[in-house]
Amino acid sequence: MRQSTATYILIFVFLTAGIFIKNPFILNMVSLSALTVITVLGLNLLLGYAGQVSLGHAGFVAMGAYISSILSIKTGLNPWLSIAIASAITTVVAAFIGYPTLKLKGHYLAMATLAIGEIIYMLANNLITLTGGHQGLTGIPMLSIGSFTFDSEKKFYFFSWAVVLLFAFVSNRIINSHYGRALKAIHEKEAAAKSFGVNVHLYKVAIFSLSAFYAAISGGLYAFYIGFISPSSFSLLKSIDYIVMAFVGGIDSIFGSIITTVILGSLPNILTSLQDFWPIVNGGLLVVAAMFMTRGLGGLIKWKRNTF
Amino acid sequence: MEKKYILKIKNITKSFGGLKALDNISFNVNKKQIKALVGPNGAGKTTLFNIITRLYQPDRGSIEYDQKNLLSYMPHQLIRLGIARTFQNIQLIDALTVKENIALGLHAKIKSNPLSVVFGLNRKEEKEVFEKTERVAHFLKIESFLNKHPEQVPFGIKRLVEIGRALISQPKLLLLDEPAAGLNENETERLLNTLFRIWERGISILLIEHDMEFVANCSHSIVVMDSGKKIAEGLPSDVMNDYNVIKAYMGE
Repeated sequence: MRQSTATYILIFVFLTAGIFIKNPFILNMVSLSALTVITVLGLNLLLGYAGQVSLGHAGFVAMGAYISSILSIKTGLNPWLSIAIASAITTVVAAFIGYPTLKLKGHYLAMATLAIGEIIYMLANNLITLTGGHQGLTGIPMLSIGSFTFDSEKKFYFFSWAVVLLFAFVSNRIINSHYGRALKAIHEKEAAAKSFGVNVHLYKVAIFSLSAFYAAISGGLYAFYIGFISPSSFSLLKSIDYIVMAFVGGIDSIFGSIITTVILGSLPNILTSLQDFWPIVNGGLLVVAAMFMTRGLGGLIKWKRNTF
Repeated sequence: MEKKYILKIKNITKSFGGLKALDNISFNVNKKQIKALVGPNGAGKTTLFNIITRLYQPDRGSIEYDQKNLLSYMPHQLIRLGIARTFQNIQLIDALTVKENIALGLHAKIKSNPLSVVFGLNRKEEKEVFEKTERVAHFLKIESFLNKHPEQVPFGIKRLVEIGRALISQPKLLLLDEPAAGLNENETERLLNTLFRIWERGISILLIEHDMEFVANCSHSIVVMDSGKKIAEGLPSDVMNDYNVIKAYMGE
């Protein structure tokens, strides 16, 4: 089976499951996982395809969440419009940050992106008049279309997975095009990519910005769903969570990323007694994946290639 | 008047620190010519190759290609000018199939933009890309490897896949970096044959090689370099007899 087909079936299964799940706790948990999936899909493009690491993606999620919330709270702007504007701003900011940063390689790039994430985290903590500091922002309005409001876990569940479907679709289209081939070439053999006309730096910046866009959309939807945001939701630990989810799922596998993100996103909520130890579990998983399963969960399956 | 040459290298000089890697190198590659650049290790062949492929900037000198100043271009722009290359240490992408690796050579010519890709309007063009890929594979007689990954094919085939990736872009000038390195006798034979068939199509070829025998068999003209200097240039038969060449190779 082609990986894209399997991905759409998987998302369809999640959508269908929403009809049968009555428990609001589970609906809420899996909806939040869906939002995380969006960020991880973006990270997948950057890390798995272009081979560029980012340890600061929680920062872009934060930008999407804060900018859209502030816009709607302070100016009463329509939430959808706020999310769109916040995501556009985040994408442009990511391009400006990415332009110099992505000239770095390996550990240096990891350090630089870590710093970016930390700076955004600090800003969220310290621009108190705008962000409410560590106490966060409350009173973020709910999303609605006309008179239809996403005011229940169930309604938001379907919506969040529909958004996942949309982003998985966009990712699939990109991956299975000449852009996907170019990104893989950048990942493995930069010199070869260059000599066949790939503007390597431009592509890195573009894919970095696109993955920041994914993150910002995820952050914006999160803010308007929960109605409250504080810096602790966007810390370095979150960035590392995203990396673990992308890596264990298979850095170049959309299918694997979705499954892994839902499992790793939900487990801490189910095994509540383990919650404090979760970073240890996460770290262990990353080590195991790095040692025995370098292509992740999705890499264990032999997918059929797209051929023409 | 139509110029006889496609590439004119003039007075190229390049130093790394105190070391003069290239000292006033000049020669032409004529249209429809197979030109070889030979010399022992450290002669400066690769440095010159890296200057032509725009990875290095020379200290002095000029390179004219197809009536353009080549030194004003960046590496990723060369393919659009009609210059394609292969690498000494194979640079195939393991995550891509052989077919996709060859298709990468067409990257610069693909017109689909991100929006048309997202809306699936690139299907027709992708289909054409892979049809061309098959034609190139047929020309190189490597069709049976198209759906394999580079790690699953023999070394000699990898070399041909690299040549295929360069050829699919329909270059005017093909740059080959030690194409015969690591090949066995049969594979070398096959490569020679392939080079002639490429040349028959009117493509000019510049190759770096230190296998003298291979060079004597395949090129129309040879430039011999040693310690950054050009020490001989001419027909293979003349150059082979040249005392300086023998000296450079014997290390005397």
